Amino acid sequence: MPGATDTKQDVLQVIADITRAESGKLVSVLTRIFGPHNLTMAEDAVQDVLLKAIEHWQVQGIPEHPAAWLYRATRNRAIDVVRKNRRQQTFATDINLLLDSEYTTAVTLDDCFKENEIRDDMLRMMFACCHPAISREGQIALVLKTLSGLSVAQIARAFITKPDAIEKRLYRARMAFRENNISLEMPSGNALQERLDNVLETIYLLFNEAHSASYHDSLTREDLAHDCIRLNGLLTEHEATNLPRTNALLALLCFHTARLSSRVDAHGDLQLISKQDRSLWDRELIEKGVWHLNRSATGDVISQYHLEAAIAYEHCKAGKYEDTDWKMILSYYDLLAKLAPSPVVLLNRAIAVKELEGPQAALDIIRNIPGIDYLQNYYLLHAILGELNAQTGKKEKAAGHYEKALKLAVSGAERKFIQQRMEEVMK
Amino acid sequence: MKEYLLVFRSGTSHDAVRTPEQMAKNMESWKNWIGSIAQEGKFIGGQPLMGEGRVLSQKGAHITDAPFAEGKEVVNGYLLINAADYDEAVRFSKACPIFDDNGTVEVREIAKMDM
Repeated sequence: MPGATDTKQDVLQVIADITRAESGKLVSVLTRIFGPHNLTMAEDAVQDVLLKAIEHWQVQGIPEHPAAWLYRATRNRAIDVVRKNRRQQTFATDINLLLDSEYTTAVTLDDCFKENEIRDDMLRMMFACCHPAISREGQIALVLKTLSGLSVAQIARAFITKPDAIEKRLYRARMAFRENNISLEMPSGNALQERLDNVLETIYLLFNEAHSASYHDSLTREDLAHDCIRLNGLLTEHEATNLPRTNALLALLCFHTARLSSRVDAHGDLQLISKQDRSLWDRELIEKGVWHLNRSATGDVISQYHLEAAIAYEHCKAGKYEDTDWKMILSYYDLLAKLAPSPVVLLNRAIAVKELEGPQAALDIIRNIPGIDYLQNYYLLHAILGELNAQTGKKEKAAGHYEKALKLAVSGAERKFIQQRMEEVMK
Repeated sequence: MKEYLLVFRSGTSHDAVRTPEQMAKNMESWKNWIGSIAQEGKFIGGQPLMGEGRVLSQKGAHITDAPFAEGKEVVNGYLLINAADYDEAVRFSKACPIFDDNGTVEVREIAKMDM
């Protein structure tokens, strides 16, 4: 009997992995069946199935195909829920009558559980979660909860906030879901374009959040980054959403994620890109990024994602830091500054200028960035200003910025990083 | 638009022993047939019935267990549909999977009980 000796530990590990891999699909298909107004019912049902799996697998061993077991159990759970609630509930409008009759319930459910249907459901779910009626932070929380299978506690840790705050965000997001009758249909035509932009932006922001969060936990930045890649991957697998900018964003995510493992050293300390061990970079992921970057180079629109991906690629391409083509990078930043002249973009552009023209040129640019005041609470601005001022010999000014950066940094790793830079530079 | 009851009878009840493949094929046919009626917005509801049952007679004093009739006569399900007239209701019924089991469909209009 396979796995008859699986310990509770083994079972919990398998369940944790499978939850992250499959629960998004399961919640999506159940939401498609029960209807978007029954999102909570779908989430609860999946939760029940996972609990049941823990119970069963501890006694009977982990099945040979855990995912298949889970799908079967979820399908059976769906039948139970339908039978129990069909007299007082309406499910998804288009199949509600068919779920009402025993002649049609089982086959209708089985049709919903077909593989390509599930994939489409997940895509539809992603569009629904990114509906403009839901606040941005609500969208992100909802995507993480329903599609990435994260617990409220995990989401709270990822965003360095309390579980209560995440519960509230989710509550409001689910309310918006119901009140706006958000459907699981794929928008088409112009609506699709707009909503796709929304979905891409949510993935982008989620990735940035994941990227900047530096905490040490069972759930790592890498996990979240790979979630983003997986969600973005769904969009490139679907004809209607497999557009140049979709591929550009995916390329960007791949390039950044490929370098994640070298961002912290063996002691868990943050590393400057100039000091990172480039042999740790994930070549396979970089290749995947290149493939999508090539796919993104069609059509006549250059998006922010294209330019950011191109910049990230320049870093990946350089065998060592000294090989970095800063001229090329600056030319991309120049385009980006025209397309999306946000203070953060202009700040990053100034760093490329520093590499080419020195710290004083960069300082002059930063001083004149419109809206730089918005970044006054951004620890990286002060870390950069500390660095640049130190390099131009203004030690006192540099110390002031480093201290500000220390106060603003959220995580211990960030603070330690700044502390070390401070000591190195101020010597 | 009127409502019609379709009563199905056959010698094989829905819980009769079949191979899983036969079962799946049979259920698929019912789903496709009912689905096509639903597609036209004419499906109201309906359920298959178990083969077992009780028949009460003599003012409820006499109760018999199934099988209560000749095989062919057993009611094993019903459907409630909307249709313009008997022609349309019959047209729907012609594609009923009950015929795969050599069964029958009885089409009856729902009576309006006006005082």
